[in-house]
Amino acid sequence: MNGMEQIQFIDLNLTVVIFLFLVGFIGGLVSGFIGSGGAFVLTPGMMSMGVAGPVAVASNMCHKFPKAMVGAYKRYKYGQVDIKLGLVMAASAIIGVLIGIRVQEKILALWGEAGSNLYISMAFVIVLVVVGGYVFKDALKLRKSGGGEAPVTKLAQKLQSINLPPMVNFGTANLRISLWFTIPVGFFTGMLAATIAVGGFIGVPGMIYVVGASGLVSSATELVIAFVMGLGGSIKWATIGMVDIRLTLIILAGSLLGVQLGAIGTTHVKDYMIKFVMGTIMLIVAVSRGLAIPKYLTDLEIISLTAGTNQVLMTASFISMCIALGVGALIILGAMWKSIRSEAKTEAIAHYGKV
Amino acid sequence: MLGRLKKWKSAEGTTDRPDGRNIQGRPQTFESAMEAVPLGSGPELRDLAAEERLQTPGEPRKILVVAQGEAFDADEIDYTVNLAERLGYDIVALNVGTPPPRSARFYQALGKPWREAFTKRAAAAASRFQAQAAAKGVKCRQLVKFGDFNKAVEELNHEVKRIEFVITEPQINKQEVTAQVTLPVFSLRRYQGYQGGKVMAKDLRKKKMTYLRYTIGLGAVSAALYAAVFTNSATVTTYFTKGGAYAILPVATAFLFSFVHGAFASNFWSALGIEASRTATQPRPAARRPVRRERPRPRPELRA
Repeated sequence: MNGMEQIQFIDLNLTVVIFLFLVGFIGGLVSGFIGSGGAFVLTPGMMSMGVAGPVAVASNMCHKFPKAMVGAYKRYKYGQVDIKLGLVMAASAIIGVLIGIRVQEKILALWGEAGSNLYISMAFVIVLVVVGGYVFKDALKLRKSGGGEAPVTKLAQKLQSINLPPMVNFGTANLRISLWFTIPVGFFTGMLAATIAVGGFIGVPGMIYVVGASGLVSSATELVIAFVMGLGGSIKWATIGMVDIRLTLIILAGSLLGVQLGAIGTTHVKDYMIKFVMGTIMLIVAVSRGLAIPKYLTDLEIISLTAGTNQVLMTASFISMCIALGVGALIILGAMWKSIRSEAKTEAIAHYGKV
Repeated sequence: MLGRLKKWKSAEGTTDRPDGRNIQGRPQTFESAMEAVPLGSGPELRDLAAEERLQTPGEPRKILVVAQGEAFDADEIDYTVNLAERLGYDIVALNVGTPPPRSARFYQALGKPWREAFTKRAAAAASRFQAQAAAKGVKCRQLVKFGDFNKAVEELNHEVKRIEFVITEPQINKQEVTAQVTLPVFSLRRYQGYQGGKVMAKDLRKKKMTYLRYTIGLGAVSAALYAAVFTNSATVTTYFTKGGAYAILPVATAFLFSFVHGAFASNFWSALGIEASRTATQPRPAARRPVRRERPRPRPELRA
């Protein structure tokens, strides 16, 4: 397969460039803040502009690893990244990706493309509703209690207390846990990444609730995982010539600005804000994917809907995905703005007395 | 890279001032007076100094600052101006010019123009010193002498009245000066390799300017890279999609752009004043404290 045949030099008109730049920026902002995001809007967005599926996925992947690297570096400087945890998770995630791809291929062979799409959407909805709902509830609870340091979950406490060698110390995350409990978290992160392209929706909650790291450290460490997986994926896609570097670079122009801003944002907000943003985005995305399910069911001839209805539903699905990203970005910017203003005020008082 | 000054005990072990008087209720030694400069217990010292000046009319007391050559060290200027302000002294800035070796006849012929040129350059260099002093209300006079450093200082000591002590640059030979000059001589000692020494004192606006410069510079490089790719997009796409070993091209390009454009983005937000919270309570691993370093601030060191 040659990429040249796949890349139908899509016309880079102003609309396309602005769309990619903006979504890149907002996606970068969100992923700098919660560790992942953006991909779920970019890939379908590019496809709707006429980019071939594999090219959209590959170009998106190729923008992901530099973005994750820049974000991880920035947050490492703030002391939030646990590199060891990230590498352990990434290693197990790679296995998850490989198996996830196999599962996909099996489903594709058994039920065709519609079946595959249905499987992906179902995975989206189930995972996002269950995990996203839990994260969102937890964030609300923390906010009510004043937004202090979140307690380590009972599950994580229990797992940390089981002395199953090899035990690993994670310095920045400030915990000690058996390697055997981090591997499944990484594995499912990879599985989800292979299925819905956003592994972070499992990885970050997994690190918070199963491994027992804080929201800050988990979301920062997720960037390391995203970098490793993104780099691996990009190399794989590039060897079959699927990366349209022009699309990648336009997205990067926005997303590198966004990811820095998102990383800066994490230092201005309380820990629960990361969970709040993540939960909100996950739930809205779940709704979005839920809207797409009827079309796939029609394709499989399980239910029957008119083509017009399906078209409306699919459009609504895409728009609600954009809304998910936009809402997340607005919450982040709002929280940052509030914090920076109050900080400036405190500083002014400290310097000049009452103002 | 600020200087550090060894604590000194006055040679006689008394608390008298070098001019032989002991003033009640004032910082008794130059040690305490000078240390007060960087410590900032200035205002009352300045008041005392001004008061003293009123009580002793006539020739004002002076600090002699000597530089070998035409330029003064920036730290030396800062330190002396602050000290003079707080003590209420005037400053005499002396540039000592050592002409080219006399053995070379060729240069001898050039002797006079060289002196004039030196005087001009020294005056230009001292204008910064004088401006800084004027900003703090300190009188600063600049003089030029030629020949041997020590002789020049000693000569000036006889010409100008009430020079209380001398401040010199770090690189001037200690033994020689103390042997020939009949004044207390201090020099600023500097640590070149000290990192972060001036971070606290940095002007915030200057920092912002630095970010702005980087933003513009990196932005230009980034824009050039983008232009390079998009003006040759047909060629680029051909090679970048060949697959196989050509996979290195898109991956390396993505890396390159992330370094340049990422650095630009970082400086961009900083230049806008959007930076990480300083009070952020990130879970940091307890850092091992390095060996305690002495805080580098300029302090006088007595050459006795």
